[in-house]
Amino acid sequence: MLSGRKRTWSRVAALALAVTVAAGCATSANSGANGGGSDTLTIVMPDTSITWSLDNGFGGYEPGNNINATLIRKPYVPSSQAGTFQQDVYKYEPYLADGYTVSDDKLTYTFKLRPAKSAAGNTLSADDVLWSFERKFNTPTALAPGLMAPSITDPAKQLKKIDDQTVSFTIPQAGLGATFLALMADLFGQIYDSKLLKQHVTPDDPYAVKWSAQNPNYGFGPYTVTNYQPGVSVVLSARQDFVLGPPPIKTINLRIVADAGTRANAVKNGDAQLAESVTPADTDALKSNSAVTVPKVDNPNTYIMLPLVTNKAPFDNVQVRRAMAYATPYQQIIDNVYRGNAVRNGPGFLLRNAPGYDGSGFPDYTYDPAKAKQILAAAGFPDGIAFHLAVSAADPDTVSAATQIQTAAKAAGFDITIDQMPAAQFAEQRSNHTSQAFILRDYAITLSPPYELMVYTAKGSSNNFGDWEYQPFYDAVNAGNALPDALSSQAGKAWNAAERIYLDQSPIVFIAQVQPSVTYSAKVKGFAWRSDNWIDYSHLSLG
Amino acid sequence: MTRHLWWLRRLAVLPVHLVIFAIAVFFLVKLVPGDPVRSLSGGQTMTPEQYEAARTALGLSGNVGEQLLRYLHNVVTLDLGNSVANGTSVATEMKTRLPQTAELAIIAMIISSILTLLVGFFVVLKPKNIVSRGLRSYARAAGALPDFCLGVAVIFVFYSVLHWAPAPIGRYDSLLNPPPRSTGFPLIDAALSSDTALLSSMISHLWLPELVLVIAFAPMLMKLFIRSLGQSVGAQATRFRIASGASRTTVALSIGRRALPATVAMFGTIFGFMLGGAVIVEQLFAMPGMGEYAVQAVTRADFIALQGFLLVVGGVSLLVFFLVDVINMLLDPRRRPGVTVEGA
Amino acid sequence: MPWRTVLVLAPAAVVVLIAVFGPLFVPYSPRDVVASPDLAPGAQHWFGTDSAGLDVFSRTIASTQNDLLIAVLTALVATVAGIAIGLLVGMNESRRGILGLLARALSRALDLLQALPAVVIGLVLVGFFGASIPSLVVSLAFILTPNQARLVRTEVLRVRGEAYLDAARMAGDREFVLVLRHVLPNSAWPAVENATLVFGSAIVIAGALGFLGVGLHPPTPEWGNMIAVGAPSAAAGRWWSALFPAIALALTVFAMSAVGRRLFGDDQ
Repeated sequence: MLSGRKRTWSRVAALALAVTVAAGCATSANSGANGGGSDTLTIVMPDTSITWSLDNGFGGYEPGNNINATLIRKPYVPSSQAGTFQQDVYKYEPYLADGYTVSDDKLTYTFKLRPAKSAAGNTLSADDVLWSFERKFNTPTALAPGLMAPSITDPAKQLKKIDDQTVSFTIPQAGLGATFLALMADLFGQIYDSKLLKQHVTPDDPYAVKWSAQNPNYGFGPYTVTNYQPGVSVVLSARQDFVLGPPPIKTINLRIVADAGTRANAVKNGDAQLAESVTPADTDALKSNSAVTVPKVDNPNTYIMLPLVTNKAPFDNVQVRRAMAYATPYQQIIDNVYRGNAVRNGPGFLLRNAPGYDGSGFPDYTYDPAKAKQILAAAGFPDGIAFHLAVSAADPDTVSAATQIQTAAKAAGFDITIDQMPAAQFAEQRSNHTSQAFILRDYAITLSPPYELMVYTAKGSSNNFGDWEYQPFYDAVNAGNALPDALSSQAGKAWNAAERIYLDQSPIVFIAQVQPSVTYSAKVKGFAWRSDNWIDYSHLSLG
Repeated sequence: MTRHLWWLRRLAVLPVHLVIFAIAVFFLVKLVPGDPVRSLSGGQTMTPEQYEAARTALGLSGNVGEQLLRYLHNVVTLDLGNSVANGTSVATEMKTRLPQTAELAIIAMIISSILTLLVGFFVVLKPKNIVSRGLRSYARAAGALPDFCLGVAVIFVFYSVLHWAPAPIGRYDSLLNPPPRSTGFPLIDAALSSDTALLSSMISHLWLPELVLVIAFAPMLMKLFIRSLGQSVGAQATRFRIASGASRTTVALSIGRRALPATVAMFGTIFGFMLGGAVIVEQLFAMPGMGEYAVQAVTRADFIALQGFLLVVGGVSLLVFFLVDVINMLLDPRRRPGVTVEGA
Repeated sequence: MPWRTVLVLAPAAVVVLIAVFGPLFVPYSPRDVVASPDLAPGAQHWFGTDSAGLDVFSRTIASTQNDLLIAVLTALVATVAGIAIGLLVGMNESRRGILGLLARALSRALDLLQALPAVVIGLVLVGFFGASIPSLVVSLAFILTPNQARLVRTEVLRVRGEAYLDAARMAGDREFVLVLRHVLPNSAWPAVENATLVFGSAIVIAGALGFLGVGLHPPTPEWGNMIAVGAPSAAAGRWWSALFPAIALALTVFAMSAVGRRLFGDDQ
């Protein structure tokens, strides 16, 4: 009978389902035991479009940063929160180089190289340094030329091989020294294994850039990639012959998990030990959980900011820009969007812990809609102003901040329409300055005052968010650059003069400094904040 | 030979369709907003010379005609290029992701088909039953419960609260190694390498996403099947069969055969849809596949990856539709083209 | 009116009423930040607040208008266009000559459109046209028409062979009248019945597009958008900002499909 046969099938199906569910239950009962060993760390991260070669394009480079190494690096010092570390961004310690000496005229820096071994087994030599920089400056898709100027513009002339273990760099101005050293300690100062890469050069690919994008282990860093499934996972293994000694954690297991809530859950339940890009709401909920650590560092360099594009109405008018700075609900954003995990130390952008820092004489931008309305009226807009605010769909916290601003700025007479767009479109409007205003979260990796002042203001730069070119400001920065030591108190006054102009003209409203959006199990030790906001796996340990 | 002309002709014309499709893809991808070079550089500073050089390196120089010719040349030589965003070969990515998504989709389709047949016959043959009424309502609710709603709810209930399912952070447990690649289908590869730990881990990670896919998509099939089954039960052909004394099984089969074509057509649609449309389920359970690749390509203006994706998915879908049409024409000879409806 | 009919049509009527009058009676503005974020449902905020501090109840009610508009327009456009195209293609596919060629080309074009994943096309089209209700309707109709046309075409191919068509031809009916009077009513039913699926799909795809960055601009209230934004919170235990719009969506689709069955289908 048909119905009889059907009943049998139903029973078979039910049995199959039961077996499957049982298998699921059986395995999940074991899931708590994952990652218990002291030699494997599981990290869950969003899909940042991992790239293995900066010369090929700028993408998610945290794993790549752990495969490569620089000549010098910034030391890790304890922060005010017990167990958390942070970089001291104004000092340098040996890494691939034993140290450096500076010539009397402060223009030439000489590095003495260590006999470090690369992942392929080759020994570091001056040829590696010269070839690496040649590659960086001769590849169309490389970003180094744009970002290392004006300290390094022509490596063929500025770099010199003294002998196999010694290289010198000559910079055009003594005042650029602080910036130069910072650049050498960060991602663009990485040195590649030229012997390995030269074996894979082709006429089409004269510096093996495309090859290195698919074959990551061409560096001198603490880890190598042993398994890579694009969009899914990366497995890194510690190198025993790493120049600073083998890292404590032998295997790093990176898993790409797109959903932010799931990432937070994974750490909470012990399925992973570290979660990146956790939402502020989840971070807030995890603060009270003693099995999980939420890091707090003293001076995070990530800013949420509101560039006001000056090449068109309404923000071509400096009064309107100032009014906007008074119409932005700073505390509301810190409370509602970041749940207190952000701080506003003042209206400025330069980090306050720099030697010689001077923070006097800045305008007192706070949320004061009445004042904003006054300024708008004085500028000839008594009925207020309407504009479009662009925001990237890929950054939900900026979308939330835009919503806060939209509501709060109404009281000041601003009628804001939010334009949410996908990441590539947002990148385009950001580089081409086509919107009226946009909101983003960004940071300067190189933390020297002149670099920070110029990073979003350089002439003709696609990173000049506000498309703002103001000669008095450039003059003030140049005055500071002419001084021999960028971190002296004399220079500090020069930077202050420049920053006063910056804030008074307000092409960018700096809203708040945001804490790292990372949470990890209490078993993980050695988390350190870095100015590039990437995690140094070799500094971590378990248990 | 002429007996088989109807499907041979369809088969021969398939490559032509693919080329036309390729041209359509080229122009469709041009519509994607965003500048791949700016996306690639993360908005960082570039000199105008660098910018132009980067564009040339990506094949974006020259006018539309030149670009089209270069593109068609690549398509014909099956060179899908390298992704703009991270330099990986598009063809390699497709080879990896297509079987993974297909595996998800095929399992869901098999389960849905079995369910549809069971539920369909049950509901039509025993209409007054209370279970029958419930199933009818469920089928009618097709589309009311979007798959990402279900996915979030299901993860919340079965993982966050009940802990019956493992963490949705991948196809298998984080500490296990991936299977050696032979067919590309993860389950089959794990089975072939006799890796029971991996296999059971995969199954335990699969049941929740499959549950979501089946609950979300089976009703679409069921609704249509129940409807057309009901129609064909009352049709003349059925009464003829019963009157001429055919066995119950024969009658049921003949009802089924006549009811299937609309459902089979829907089947083809859902399969094609799942290839790209399961993106949110894939995202929620961290099992990135074809859909996720395409979405990333669009949001990053990675036009090379997007072109490759559309070509592969289009090719596979066209094949599936061809098969669906052939099956339908086998089931119901009246549907074959060239069947005389002359006088027109 | 028989009470049974009232029972079936009442939910849909309620939905339409909410869509039209709802935004006038909501306790808070659906577009403004009104309180601290992530408040659980309570006396002040019946459905709680979402992660930005907007009131979920007000937004759920206000979304009805936007979602209903998008879904109804899309279902209408997709079904009408689908029936027209399906008829055209199905009747003329096997003809010789230019008409047949065009019909076959159109059929292949429909296949090609269906071969592309909906979300990807939606992303490209909405990204290109900008995100507004008209452009969203056009993009969604583009995605959902081919299936409607395909369903109708399949039925037309079946109906083509029926005896009563030849009878009508012999009685002297012109082809066009034939199509309208005999073929259309008998082959349109899959598309019309599927219209409620199109309705639901329209809302869902619009929500998916919002998830991926090309939905209606925030803070426009729209269920799919609300679910997509609330999903990560739900995974972490803050279920209210995603659950209520999801229920509203499901109930609306259910109510509308009941109407659809009453008007067009046979209710067994």
